Amino acid sequence: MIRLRHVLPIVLGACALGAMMATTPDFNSVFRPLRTTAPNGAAAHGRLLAVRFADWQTAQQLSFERYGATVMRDTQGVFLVVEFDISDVRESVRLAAAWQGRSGRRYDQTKRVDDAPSTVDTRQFHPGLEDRGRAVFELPPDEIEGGTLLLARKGPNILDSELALTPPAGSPARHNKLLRLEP
Amino acid sequence: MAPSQPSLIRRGARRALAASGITAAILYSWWQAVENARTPQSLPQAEVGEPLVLGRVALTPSSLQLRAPSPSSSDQRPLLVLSAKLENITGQTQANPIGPPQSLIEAKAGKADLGVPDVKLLRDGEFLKQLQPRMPEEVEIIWHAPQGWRAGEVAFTFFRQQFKLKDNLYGQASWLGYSAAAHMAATPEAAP
Repeated sequence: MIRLRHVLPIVLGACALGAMMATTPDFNSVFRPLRTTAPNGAAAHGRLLAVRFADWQTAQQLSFERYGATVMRDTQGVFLVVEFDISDVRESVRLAAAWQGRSGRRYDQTKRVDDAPSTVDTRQFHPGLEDRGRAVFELPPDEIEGGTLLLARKGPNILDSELALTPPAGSPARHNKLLRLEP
Repeated sequence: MAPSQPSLIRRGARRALAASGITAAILYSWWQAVENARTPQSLPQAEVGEPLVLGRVALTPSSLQLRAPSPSSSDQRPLLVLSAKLENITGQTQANPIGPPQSLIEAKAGKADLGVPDVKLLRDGEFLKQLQPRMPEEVEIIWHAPQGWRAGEVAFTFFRQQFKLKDNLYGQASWLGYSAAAHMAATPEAAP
């Protein structure tokens, strides 16, 4: 009986510790961005700005002007070019864009079109100015339908807004063999 | 009054317990030595055309060539070009899939370490900055051969990056650590 009185607190402590370890949420689920999802046509409102899905199209090749020279890009999959309207900006902000495909895989904006006109990597959005942004993704064609556009502040995004914009149902109506990105 | 002695059975049980611990330690270290002897110390040999899983990417080497440098290049050392297919096998875009911070491929010509390679897309010669999931790319991995090197065998070591679901610092999922995964020795063909 005396031994049991010594051993019982240790056993109970170990059980409590094990239960806490088993039920504690992991880092990735605690410190993830706070996602706001908007249906197609509606604006998603975040901490720093509001965004509405505007237009989308696909292309097999892209061309654009960079430092006075024409740059051509092709892809193993397809280029998805998405445009979105930005309003209600509360402080100057740069954005990062990603496309979450139907499979759940996440495609960041492609660096093959770095410095193309109006893409989010070249833009900063300011308070009081309504604006339009553009993001270009390189992905397999079957990741487009059923996907979601994700926009967040550029850089580490812990416990800050992430805006998820739902595109129109189906695939983009326009597919270009060669699309020229204009400012 | 003399202190009471533990009974013979209790003393025997204590000694038996201590002896069993020592015996277990000896057996364990002996078995470790047997296991070490059974495990081959050399790394597996990579083969041309065989995919190598290196953590975030799968790499399939296809050929090794020795090429003359571009006439406009400031570095006039010959180029060692390993052609390969690279595939992102994770669920998200991977930046710098071959490195930095650490290159997944180490190349040695004789005793000379060839350093960090450039990785270019075969289709347009642009640097590979990202690899998208489900979109394998044909690439050329390029080193400068050492000055005065006479074409011979080049030794490659491929490193695998480890995925850790909960790292020791924050408990977050990370790609950490590199360990040698395979060796390959190849003699470069002259470029046509």
